[in-house]
Amino acid sequence: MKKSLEYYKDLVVVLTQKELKVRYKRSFLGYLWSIANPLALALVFFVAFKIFMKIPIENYTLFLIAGLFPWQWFLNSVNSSAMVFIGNATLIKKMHFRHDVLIVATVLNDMLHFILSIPVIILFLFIYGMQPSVMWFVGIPVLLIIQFIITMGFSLAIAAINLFFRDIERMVFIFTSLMFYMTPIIYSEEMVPSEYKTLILSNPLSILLISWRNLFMHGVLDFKDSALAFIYSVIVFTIGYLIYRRLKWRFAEVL
Amino acid sequence: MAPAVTFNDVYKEYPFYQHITAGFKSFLFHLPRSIASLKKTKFIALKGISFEVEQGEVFGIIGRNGSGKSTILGLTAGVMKPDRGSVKTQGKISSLLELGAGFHPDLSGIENIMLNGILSGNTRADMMKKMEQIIAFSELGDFIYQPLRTYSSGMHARLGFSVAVHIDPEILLVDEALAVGDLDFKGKCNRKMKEFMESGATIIIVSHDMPAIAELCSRVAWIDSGTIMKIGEPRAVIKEYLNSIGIVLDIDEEEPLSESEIELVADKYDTIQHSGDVSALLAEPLDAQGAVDAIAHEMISPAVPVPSSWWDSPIIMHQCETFITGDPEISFYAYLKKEYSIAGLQKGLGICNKLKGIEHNFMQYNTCTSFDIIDGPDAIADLPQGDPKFKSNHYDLLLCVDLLSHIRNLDIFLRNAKDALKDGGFIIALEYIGPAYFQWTEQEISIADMLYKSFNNHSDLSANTDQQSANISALSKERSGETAVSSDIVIPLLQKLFDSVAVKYFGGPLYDLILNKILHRFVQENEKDVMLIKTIMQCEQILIGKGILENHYAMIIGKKRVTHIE
Repeated sequence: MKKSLEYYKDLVVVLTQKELKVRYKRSFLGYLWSIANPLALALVFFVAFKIFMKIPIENYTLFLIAGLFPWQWFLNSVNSSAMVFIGNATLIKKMHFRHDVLIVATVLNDMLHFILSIPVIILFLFIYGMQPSVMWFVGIPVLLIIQFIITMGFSLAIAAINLFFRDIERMVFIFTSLMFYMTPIIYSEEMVPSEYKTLILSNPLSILLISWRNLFMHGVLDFKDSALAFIYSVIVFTIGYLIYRRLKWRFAEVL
Repeated sequence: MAPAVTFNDVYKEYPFYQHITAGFKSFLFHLPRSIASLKKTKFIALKGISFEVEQGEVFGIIGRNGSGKSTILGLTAGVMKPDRGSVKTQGKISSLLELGAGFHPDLSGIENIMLNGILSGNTRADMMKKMEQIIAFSELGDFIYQPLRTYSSGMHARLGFSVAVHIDPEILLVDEALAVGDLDFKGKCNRKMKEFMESGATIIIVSHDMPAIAELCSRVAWIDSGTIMKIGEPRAVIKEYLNSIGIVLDIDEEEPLSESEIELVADKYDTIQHSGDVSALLAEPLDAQGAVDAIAHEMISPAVPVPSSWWDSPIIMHQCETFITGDPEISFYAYLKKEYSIAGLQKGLGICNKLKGIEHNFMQYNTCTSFDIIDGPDAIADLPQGDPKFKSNHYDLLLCVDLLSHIRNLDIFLRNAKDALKDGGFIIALEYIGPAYFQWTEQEISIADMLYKSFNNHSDLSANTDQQSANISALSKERSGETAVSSDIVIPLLQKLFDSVAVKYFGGPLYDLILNKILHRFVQENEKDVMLIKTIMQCEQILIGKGILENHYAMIIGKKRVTHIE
């Protein structure tokens, strides 16, 4: 049965609203919590690397935040995606709708939180005597789309596979921790020895996060980097979606 | 018109996923075996099933657990895909597979309506339009703004049902899960389902509730081990299905009461009357077969015409007669003749909500030679309220059964009735005279439970609550929906219009209640059941005598005055 575009828009909106409402239904501080976590991390890293280990990066707090906030979006989406289908088992077993919409809603929800945390980045820019750039109006939407696509790819695959191998859920935590240190977030790509550079840059998230940071700190959006990040994201999404599509008809059976 | 649902050689199997869902470790440690077992150990749910459900049809699916019924619903709903063959559906599907399947406990009622509606394929604009209707139907009041975790399970079910039926499905899938919710709401649901059927929606029902299937469905498929055993007319299919699981039915057999049974009851009745102790009777030892019987009856009852009311059962009728006549040996008709000289009449008129052939008895016992009949709720509804056009001065006897409580303007009706009778003609009314909007009290329900338990030592009533609550609810509804005549209206009214009025009370709320709880599993030939019913009625009489309960039924007889020609 073909459904109208309006229907899918409504479906995504309502599911995203649901995620938001459910998340904050019983908490007073609500959205502050989504900022608190990366800020706390930033504080820890600042103390460890800047104060104790004297890492030679200027404006290190800002540097950290510019990378940690987008990372947090990716991390939250991927981590929660493992449980999305399991958590909505009754829906999947009893109702007929596109299940990937559940993942879209999860990723959008985390994206929304990321967007809402941008003012915090601006605040730190001012603290360090800098200003947001006009380039942001182009750069932010472009990078948002790229990161949305790549996060969808990872999330779809993990959510689908986790129904069949519940261990994936645990493995995702290890996988994302490793990935965090393999992505230039707490260090800059210039600090990576040249023989490891390919390894670090082959991580599909690296270029994206470097692009975010360059955009936030320097108001620069490199076309070549963006194109490369986009290609990565399309590849990851295609693989993720194929895995999901291969498995989706079995969802109602295993849940 | 294309069929609403088409299954064409549908084949569905489930691999056993436990090997892998159990985790990587066990999967990897036994890799070769795991892969082999994945390929080999399959559960074949459907083995090439083909059928069509036409638009507007009510299609039932019956069969044992695990026979593939739910798989068919799942495939129809589109949550699964067949391994071979095709499933085609025409129109918007709403599934009552599980009420409120898409509800989230932390969202409010309104938010959940929206969520559930959207997941069922509606746009937000659609849902906004229907929102008010859904809220009104659910009767949740201000709870609609509260998060769902504060709801009772009944409220949850109400909301689920409201949403499911208001999204205008063209195909409605109903699983057993539907049998929840509180009693009052249940009646409302049933009416809504009927509305659906009338509106031409296609409905597919999976259930073990044979009476419901027989009543609702136009066609039934019996599924066993993934194949269709039989498909066709409901009663025939149900009968064959029950036969297959070892239940042989003799649908039309109704044994009359034996003399000894009647004596036995009379003896017991004496005992209770003398001792005044109901529990003495209840302590009667029961045969160990009890539990088995009860279960068997439950299974058998579906295809037996299910007595839905107290006068459906000959035994109960006999008991009523005994209460009225005061002597089990004397039939009601003999009593009428003896006490009121009502016999050898010519023309009778029977007006009734459910006559059930009582008029034949009147003819058989030579009370009347012929009868005109106005029977059934519809026929009564068609009577011009308060102004029935009967042939004037035409009848010798007017028989009303369960009628007066359905008549709005009783005064005018009775005047017309009087006009229809010849001089010296009789009116006999067998009526519910209990309070209007009657509901059973906790006390009455607990007495009924006690009695029931003592006769079925294995189980309490909750073991079969679905059917029972449906019955009680239906009866409750029936009663509360009517502006029941109360004895202090109808009897004076009759006395005003007719001569020599006799009033005989019989039967109270207790046996009405318990009969409606067990009547569906009641088997005429079974001695225990017969005893149970008799005992209940006797106990009730005692309780009524002690003023604990009140009579709810009465026979009222009136005779038309002879008008003097001036």
